[in-house]
Amino acid sequence: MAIVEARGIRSAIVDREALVENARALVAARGDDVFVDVRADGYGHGALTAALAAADAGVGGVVVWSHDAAIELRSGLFSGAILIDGGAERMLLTVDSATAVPLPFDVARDAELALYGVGSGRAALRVAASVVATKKVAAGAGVSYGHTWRASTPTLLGLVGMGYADGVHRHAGNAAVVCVADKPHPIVGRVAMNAFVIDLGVDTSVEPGAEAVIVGDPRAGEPTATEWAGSLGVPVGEVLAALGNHTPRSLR
Amino acid sequence: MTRARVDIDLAAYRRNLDFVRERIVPAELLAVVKSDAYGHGFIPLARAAAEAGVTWLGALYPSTARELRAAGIDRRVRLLAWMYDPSERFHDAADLGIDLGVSSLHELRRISAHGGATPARIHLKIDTGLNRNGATSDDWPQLVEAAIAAERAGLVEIVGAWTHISEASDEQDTDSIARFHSAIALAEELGAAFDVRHLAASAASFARADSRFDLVRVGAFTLGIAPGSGLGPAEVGIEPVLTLSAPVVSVHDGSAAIAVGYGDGVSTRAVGRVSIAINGVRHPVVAVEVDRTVIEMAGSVSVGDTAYLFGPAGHGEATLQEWADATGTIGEELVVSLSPRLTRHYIG
Repeated sequence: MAIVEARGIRSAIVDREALVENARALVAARGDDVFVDVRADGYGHGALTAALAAADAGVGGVVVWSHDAAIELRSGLFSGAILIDGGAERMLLTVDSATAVPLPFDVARDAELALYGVGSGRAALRVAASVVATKKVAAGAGVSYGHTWRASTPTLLGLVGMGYADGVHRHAGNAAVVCVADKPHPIVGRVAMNAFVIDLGVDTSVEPGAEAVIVGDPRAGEPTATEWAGSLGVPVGEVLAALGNHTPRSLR
Repeated sequence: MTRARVDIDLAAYRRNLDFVRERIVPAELLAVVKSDAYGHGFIPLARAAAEAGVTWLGALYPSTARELRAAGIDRRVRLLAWMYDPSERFHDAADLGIDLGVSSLHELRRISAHGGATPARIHLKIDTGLNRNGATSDDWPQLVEAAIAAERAGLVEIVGAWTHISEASDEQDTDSIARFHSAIALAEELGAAFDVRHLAASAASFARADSRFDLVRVGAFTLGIAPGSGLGPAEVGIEPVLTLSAPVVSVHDGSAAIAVGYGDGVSTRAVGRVSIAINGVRHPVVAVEVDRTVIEMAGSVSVGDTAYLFGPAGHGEATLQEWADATGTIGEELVVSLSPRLTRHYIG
């Protein structure tokens, strides 16, 4: 991994250590026969990354949604137990066998997605995007398609280079916040395909190039996937998968 | 088929391109292929557009434009990029024939520092009310003057003037069009000369001849994605290009499960709002889980049957417009939300 990385407009950074730590806590709480869920490409973290991190922590195995997903894990040298939960049947692929066998019962699962820091664990996915422009507007200025938000007082708006093509729900406009320079700012107006607007207020020195954190570390005051899920009324797994699977990921 | 499948009909795409081009004459078409051509696959679609004689493609990011050149889209097809990373150096834009949108003095300065021998070709953007990017009318004269100075210094070539309209109302669009004309006139008085002026995207370009100018940027309509609010592809005269389908994997007690879920990009908002076509009959969606969608059976369904979620309606399925209207969004969001990991299969 390069020490100095070219900074793209959007970034999705997976914290492998956080995944391992969360998996250890899960094993301590639930036992070493617990299986973690790596469907939806590890809920946005990368199925292989999540599986290998969980294996390091000594989990019982991983759950995938197809034979193809199982083959990908084996190709990536994940050698733990794989539960293929594909529909009508459950098949278990163990360390010793090359063929999956039907499993008439279910395994103990991390249904709460604790592996990914949902709940009390450490956030393992950080998604951010650049502020590409800032603009002062007068009171009454309408923003974005349909002008669904209007400035009530003069304010500074920021255009962030991430949109509904990148996993930010179009309904996040007027419902969710992002963090710039450690301060939360609301998304205003309709989210567009590749950009959304935030209200930076009047007393700010945010410039183009600043980073807007969409989900990150709650210990740093950054928004969480759980908060997004609550604002949007959708499952937290849907938020994680949408944000993590639409931007090229790198490992921290 | 073990899980969901995306089929892309390139013949329908070509027919849409022809239809759009006829409609916007004498303006030319800039086919928008950003965001992986709205989830359809930007390289196959760009190639189809280039082969069909489309002369402009909208890439959004310089990196996408570079990939298009690397994929064999030659310089007869002009490429436009307009959103930039902090680390973008623009060093090869002129050599690769990538035109660049400029919304601010900041962007103009960065682009002017490209360091190449050939001037970078730029399109100056004015904000006419959308309040996203584009110079405000206060900042416009200064941007134009700085661009003219950079042109005289051989750093840039001013090629175009453009804007983006809100389509919030017909009245506001009329206002935006007027503001665009004024901005162009002012720039021309200052000494700028524009080869191409472009304002409209899909819907406006169809509705209003006065929105078309020299070039029209169309994405949705080329893909058969209609504006919604009851207006579907058939009414517009376009054909949906993308079909999403998945196999039925279990049947139990009046419900059936289909192997596609929110992990594939199907929104949980579908629950209680849309129905899926299996064997020509629509079955209401009662649950969307990470890996499966559950329907209440309204007719006979067997494991192995193909369920059609949205497409051109040939199997009784909803169009994107119908699904989007039912779930409170637009067709574009439904397609770009589909997981990049779903393989796109191309026909035609």
